[in-house]
Amino acid sequence: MDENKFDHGKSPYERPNFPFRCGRGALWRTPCNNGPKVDGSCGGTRDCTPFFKEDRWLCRREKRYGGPCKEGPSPTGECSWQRPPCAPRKTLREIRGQISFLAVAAIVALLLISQALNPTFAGFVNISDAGPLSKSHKKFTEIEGCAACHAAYGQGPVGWIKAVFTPVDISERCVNCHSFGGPDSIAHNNDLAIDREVRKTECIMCHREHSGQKMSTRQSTSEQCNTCHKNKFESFSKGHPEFPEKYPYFNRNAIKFDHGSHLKKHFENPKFTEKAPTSCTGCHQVTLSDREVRPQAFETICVNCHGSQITKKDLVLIRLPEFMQNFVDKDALIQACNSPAEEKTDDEFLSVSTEMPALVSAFLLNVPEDDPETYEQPLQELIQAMTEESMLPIEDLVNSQTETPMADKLLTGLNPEVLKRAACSWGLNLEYEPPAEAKFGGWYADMLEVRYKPTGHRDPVAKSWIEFALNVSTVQDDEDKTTRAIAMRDEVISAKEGVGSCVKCHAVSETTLADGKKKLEIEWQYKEVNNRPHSQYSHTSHIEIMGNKSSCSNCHILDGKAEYMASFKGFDATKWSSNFSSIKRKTCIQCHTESQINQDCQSCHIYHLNPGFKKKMVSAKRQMPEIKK
Amino acid sequence: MKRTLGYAVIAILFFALIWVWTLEVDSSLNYPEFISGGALFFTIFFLCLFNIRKRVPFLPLWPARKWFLLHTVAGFLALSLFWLHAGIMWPNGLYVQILVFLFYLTTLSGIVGLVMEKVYPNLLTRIGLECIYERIPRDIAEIRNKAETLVFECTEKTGSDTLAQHYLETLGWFFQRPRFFINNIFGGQNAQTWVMQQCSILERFLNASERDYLDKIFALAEIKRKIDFHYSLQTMLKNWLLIHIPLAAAVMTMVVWHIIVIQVFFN
Amino acid sequence: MTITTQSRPQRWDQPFGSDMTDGDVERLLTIPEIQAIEAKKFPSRISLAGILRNDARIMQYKAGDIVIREGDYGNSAFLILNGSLRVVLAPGLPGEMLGRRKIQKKNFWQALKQLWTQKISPEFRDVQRYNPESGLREAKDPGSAHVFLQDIPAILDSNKTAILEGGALFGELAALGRTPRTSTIFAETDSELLEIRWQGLREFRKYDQGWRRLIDERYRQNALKAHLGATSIFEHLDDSDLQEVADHTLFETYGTFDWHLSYKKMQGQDRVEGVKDEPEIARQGSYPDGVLMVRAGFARVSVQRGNGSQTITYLGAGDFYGADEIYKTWKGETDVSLKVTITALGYVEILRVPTKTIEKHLFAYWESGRQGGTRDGNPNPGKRRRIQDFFEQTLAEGALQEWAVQERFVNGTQAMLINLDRCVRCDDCVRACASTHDGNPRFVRHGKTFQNWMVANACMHCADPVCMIGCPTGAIHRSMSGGMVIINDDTCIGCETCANSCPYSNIRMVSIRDEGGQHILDPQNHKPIIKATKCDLCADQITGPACAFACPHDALNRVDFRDVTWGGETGGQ
Repeated sequence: MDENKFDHGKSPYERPNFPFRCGRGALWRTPCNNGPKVDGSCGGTRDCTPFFKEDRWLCRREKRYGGPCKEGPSPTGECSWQRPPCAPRKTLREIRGQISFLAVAAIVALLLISQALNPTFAGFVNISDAGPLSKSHKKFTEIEGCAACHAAYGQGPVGWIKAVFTPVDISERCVNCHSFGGPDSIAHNNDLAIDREVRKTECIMCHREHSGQKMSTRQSTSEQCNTCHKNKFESFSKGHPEFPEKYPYFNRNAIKFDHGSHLKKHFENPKFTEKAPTSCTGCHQVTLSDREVRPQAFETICVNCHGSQITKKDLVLIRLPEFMQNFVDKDALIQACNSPAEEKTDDEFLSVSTEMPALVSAFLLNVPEDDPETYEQPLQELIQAMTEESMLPIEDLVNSQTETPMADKLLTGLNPEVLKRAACSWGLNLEYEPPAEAKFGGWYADMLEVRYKPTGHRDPVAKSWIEFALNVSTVQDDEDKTTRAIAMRDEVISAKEGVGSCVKCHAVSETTLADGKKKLEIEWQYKEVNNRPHSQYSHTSHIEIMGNKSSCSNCHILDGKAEYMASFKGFDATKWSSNFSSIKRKTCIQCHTESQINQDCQSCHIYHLNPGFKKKMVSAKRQMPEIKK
Repeated sequence: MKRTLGYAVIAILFFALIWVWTLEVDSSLNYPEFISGGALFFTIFFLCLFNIRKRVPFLPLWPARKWFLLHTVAGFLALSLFWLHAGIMWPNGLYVQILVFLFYLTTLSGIVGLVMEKVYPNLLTRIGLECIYERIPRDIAEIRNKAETLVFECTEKTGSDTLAQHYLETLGWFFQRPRFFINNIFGGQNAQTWVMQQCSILERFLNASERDYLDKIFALAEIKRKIDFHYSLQTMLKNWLLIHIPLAAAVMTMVVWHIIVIQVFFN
Repeated sequence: MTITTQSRPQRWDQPFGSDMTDGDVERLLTIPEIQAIEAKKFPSRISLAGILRNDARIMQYKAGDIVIREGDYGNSAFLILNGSLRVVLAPGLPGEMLGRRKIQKKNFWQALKQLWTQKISPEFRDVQRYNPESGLREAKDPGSAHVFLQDIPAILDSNKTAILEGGALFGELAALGRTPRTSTIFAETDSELLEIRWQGLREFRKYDQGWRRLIDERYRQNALKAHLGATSIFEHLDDSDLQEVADHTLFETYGTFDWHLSYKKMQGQDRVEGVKDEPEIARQGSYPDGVLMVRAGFARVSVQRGNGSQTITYLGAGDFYGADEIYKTWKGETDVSLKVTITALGYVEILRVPTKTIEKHLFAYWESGRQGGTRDGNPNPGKRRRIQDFFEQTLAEGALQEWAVQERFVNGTQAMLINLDRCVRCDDCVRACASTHDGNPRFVRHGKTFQNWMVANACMHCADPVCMIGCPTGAIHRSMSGGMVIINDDTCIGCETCANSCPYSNIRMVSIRDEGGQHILDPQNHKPIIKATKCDLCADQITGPACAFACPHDALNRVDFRDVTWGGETGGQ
């Protein structure tokens, strides 16, 4: 086009900072020379403002726009180059500024509207929604909305400003519902003495909300444990401390089951082969077992071989011992027994029995069992009483031994008639002759004794007698009586002779009570280890991976040298050696190591202590929990 | 290039620092979102400062070329920091979703703009003609007037209205205003082809003197085509900011509200 | 493009003074200084009377009027007809008194203030600022307006001055040598002066021995010795040796003083051609007869290549050429000839130091080994390259430079060079310029392009500022502190001399407006008041040139083409 368009006369400054541009130009027609005015109106309706001088109107068009025009102003002084005004447009930059302003205004309006709306309207469209809550929290916040957790919600601007300057601990709201086995803002909810200052924990350190239905906890890593734990290490395979010496067999079993002798001796024995289980799972219930792999019930597994042994061992309550003299009031006896009057014989009294009294009765009467001169009178008086009141005197004796009367348990099924008859016979210095043998267990009298025959496993009377014996053996003030109690106890809990042979399998352990007193207990139940609330182990998943058959022995290795049964000789449950070698860390590392199976702390360790819910949470009906604080 | 690389390295180091810091904070069970969020806010704020800086060119606040490089690098840094901050590509919650949507749009428009700013100047230079954007209406009007004058003159001098007819029917459309906008912004050749075709189909209907006029009109059309090209590309170079800047303003507003809400509910 | 024809402009088409009468000429011929001229030595087509009539004018100065200002560029010399004038000796008058803008860098707060003080209204001026008592003596012809000093006794008290009386000639060195005036001279009493423009002066010197002797001697005495002493090849000489060199140095001028006017005209007609149109200073292949030193202006250095000549570089003030060739000859080499052709770009003043003088004063020194390094080219070998270095460059490498020479952009010290491959046409530069100049841009982002380079229409702050020639009030001047060419808006009378002179169209006239955007009109004739505006290189800004500072894409730089090498490496600012 024009090479001289750079010429100073033809090319004025372009002013990109000017907010308006010519409307004609915007329509792709020739823009005028003057351009829009500062106020955005058209400045180009005419080319010049003519000047009146010496009777003439003079054209004043600028030189760069061609100088004075040919036509010149009209006689009235009007410029001859006039055109209708254009509608100047805003420049792109102006428009951009306006759009930016509008964008900001739209956002602010949106925010204000969402704030002005009723907070309970939140269900519809809530622009302040920070994200969906996790499934479990979604429900209970339905009514209260955000205020369920956020104190500042709906408090207005003043509340907000206050909230900015007051630290908010959202954890306070969490524990309205959640409960723990210990203080909730101390690490691990554990009140153990901590050897250094540990800061208060907050729920939101780990638990995050508004991240969708599924996620509620943020990724926890081993590094986070390292933050507080003094013993820092990289991973399980690198630096985790060795397990304790006895791991995982810390406590003596409740059941004296010598895996060594059973597996190596008895199960091998051709006599029992048929009855013997073929693998661990023959006895242990693996399915759905986490940390504990319980053995199955006695009735399922033990009974095959040991079923008949229980009923063979009786408890002897009373035995007619050898008496030196007769202290029985015959007349009274006859009257009581309603037996035909006997002739009085002044023969030398000759005891029908040469036995010693039963240890039970010796204890009850607190008499030495080996000194007839001492025991004959109280015992005969007892027999005398029994002839009259049958079991009442025994009942009284039993009940007086313990704080809580136990006669109802100990003497269950004791037939007063039988007792009386036996007493009558013995009062007459005769043996009692039962009409028939007591085949099926229970109380019975036979010759010189009143006995109890256990009916089978879990016999309540037998159990009660063992508990009674254990109980009384530790509480006596009298030294003699203590000796007698112990003698009785030792008889009752004797593996071979004790009633039902219970203690052949059930361990008796000494426990310390809260007041420091020691107590003996027999462990009737398989004992779950629940003193390790912060760790977890799942047998199921391990077995799933390793297979059902021989997988147990991968970790549980029989220790042939262990003196397993010897551990049960005393009552100290802590002194024991397991049948199995303790499991070492290296056993786990075989799989739990880099590049194999995850070895996060969280795989085995549980952070919280007994997490649960508060009662009101459970019982809460559809009512708003009152939130104070 | 060297300078860009230098700034990129600084940005990467900054990101790495923030990352390590968040990991550190994360493992100490503090709130890494505050670290990454703070860094992100700082970065976004810095990005916005570029606009402020352009309004005060008289202040000795570093030359604009450094700002531009930093703005570019910081844009990518902000995107990385956002991912670090949010941990996911698409967040939950309506408010943050709007915020992130706008943020992504801003970033995307920025990247598109950056690409255009790197590609278009070469295309413009290659066209071999320079024109000031504001003068394009005047230039086009001038070309159109010249073309129409030529058409009139042709009709007058040769007594034939073939050229005039063709101009009225077809060519006039081209001279009316900038054409082939879309094709031009992709660097297409449609305008050239069109002009060539429309002139060549007419040629055999003209005699020698009419052809002279056609040649002149063709020459004008070629200039017009180049101006069109400038118009299209310069429009794009200016208009992408029409999206980028309002979006950025909206994002900044939402970020401020986001921070207020966080301060109120989670401090 | 239709070619318009015009007869070649003739000498004296436009007389210097429009109202010189025959009587005036007659009177002039009687004054002793003119009488001494041998009129018959002048060729008939350039007669003495003709010169007086057309190249001279009689000027009246009232007491206090400034005749010439220190630092101005002028194309004329003055002969005092009567009256007495004062020369202000060093340190000279302050700039404000001379009608110059006081430049003070803004501080941070002042810079920031521009954010809200700038006006949307284009070219807003507070007319209160234009003090009618500012000391501007208007004249019928705006080109003859004078600035006058208000309180002469006070000035005489506080400044050292010297008196100039009738018959004294002054200003001839600046007029012929295109160098800034060295001092300010004002009329102490009402005076009458004969102003002779450079063409007339040149003729006087050419045809009259007396004037030549006078001019040359004064030149040698006042300027040449100092100039030579400051050059690298003679800086080792002592005073008497220097005087000897000065005495033997010939000085020559090439091209026309008003080259910019003819250049612009020819540019308009597409007739700027290149080497063959330019006056030749030295020819490739000829025998060297001395060292050529450029005292003012620019000279093209070109070599024959194929059927054309390739411009390899150019020489500016202070550069010299030919010492190497002479040295080789002196050392006994034969057939040493000049390797390049040197032609004048516009107007060049050349000092030719003859071979003998060079041999005596320079080569002996070189031989002593004290300074074997710098020979040809320029005094700063570290910064700029020597001519030899340019022989190697390819056509492609030299293309930008050659174009810059062709377009005379070499004149600029702060040319606005835009790399179009980077420029996104965002106009940030223009807006930055506007916001540093009260909302008014001071350049247009267009200009001549070459490949991907554009030299935008922004003042280049030329080494040879032709715009300054003829400014009647000294409003356009070179800043003493920064060297940039600036216009004092207050004293600009809108005569357009500078805008018309600028060969690059970088000065723009604007009609000023009031706050409402209305043009401010001259009450006499309702013509808008116009002012010359241009880039002032952001003289008062902290940031330096705002355009380059604001370019986000590093596309725009202010450069001296001497420092531009191929590949877009710009060493501007």
